[in-house]
Amino acid sequence: MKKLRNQIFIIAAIVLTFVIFDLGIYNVFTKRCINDYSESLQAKSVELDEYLPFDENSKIVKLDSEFKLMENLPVIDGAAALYPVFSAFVNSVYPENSCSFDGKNFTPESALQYTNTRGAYKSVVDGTADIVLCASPSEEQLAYAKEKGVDLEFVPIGCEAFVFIVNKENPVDNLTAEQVRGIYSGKYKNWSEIGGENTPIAALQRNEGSGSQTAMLSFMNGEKIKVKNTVFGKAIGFSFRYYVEGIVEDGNIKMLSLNGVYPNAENIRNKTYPIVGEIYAVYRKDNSNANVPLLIDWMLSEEGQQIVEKSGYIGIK
Amino acid sequence: MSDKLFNKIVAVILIIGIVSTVALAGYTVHLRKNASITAYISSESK
Repeated sequence: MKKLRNQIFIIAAIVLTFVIFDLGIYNVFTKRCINDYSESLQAKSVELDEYLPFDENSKIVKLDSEFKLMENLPVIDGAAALYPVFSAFVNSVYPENSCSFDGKNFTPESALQYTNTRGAYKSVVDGTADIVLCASPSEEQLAYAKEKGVDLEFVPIGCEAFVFIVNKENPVDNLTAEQVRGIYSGKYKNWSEIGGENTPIAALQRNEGSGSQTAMLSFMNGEKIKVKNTVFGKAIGFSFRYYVEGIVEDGNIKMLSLNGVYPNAENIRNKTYPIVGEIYAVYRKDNSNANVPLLIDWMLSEEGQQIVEKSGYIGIK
Repeated sequence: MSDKLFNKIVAVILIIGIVSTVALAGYTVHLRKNASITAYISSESK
């Protein structure tokens, strides 16, 4: 009897050990990695159906323009963070039957497409999109254009701040540019080295070729990024201001000041925020669609710039 | 129970336990690789 009791105790102890250990792993590591954003936001980085053109419930800026295109419509594509802008452009200028959305994606015949930065740069080079709205291209994207013998034209149509983000409960509110580069080059590994708590820094990156990853590489100014994905520590990441504030709108995230300057609209406009980049309308120089330059001129007009500003960006002028 | 049966039960539990732990670790690594920056940072306070 005593022996049986001991055996049962040992079995129970082993089971309990595994249960407690696995629950610990789940609560400390796994739960953090679970993405509870919507399926669309996870798959596309933006809720496509919330910013559709010609939809009365759409969140896009609606502006009734006298400038209209009825045929030979340039196909427009672009980055996630800029989708509300180019959807608003289409809404103002194109006829209503020019776009079709099947609930998840734009159909192949739609004049409005969405493939995000990497897809958009490939599309404009391959000729499946006429104009794409994106941040600066990566080296690989430029190399792809060169390999295909394509010359691209980059027309700045607005400005945006490149921002660094942490969880709202991180006590750090400001970093210098040197500190951020130090984090991503591996020089600083603990938040306590840069005014925070004694906990490791988990420096997060995006995929190569994404607009924000390209911007980050440019910010690093030749210094190599030497961080690896980790589940330990408190995280820091990067993105574009409007994507964080306007599209994701997650109250658990805060943007950091950089060199003491917060990335609000005023500081972006007067360029006191240190990392302000341009957003571009990109097209092939050999594109023969006469409506391409007309549409881009309109994007730079007062009406087009109104859409850019009211969508949350800073106009180019 | 006999020692033989006890050893078998312990062996099975150990195998199941190790497999589940490794699977959970692997799932965590997979989630981590595919996590968006914003979602991952947001989840720190959830």
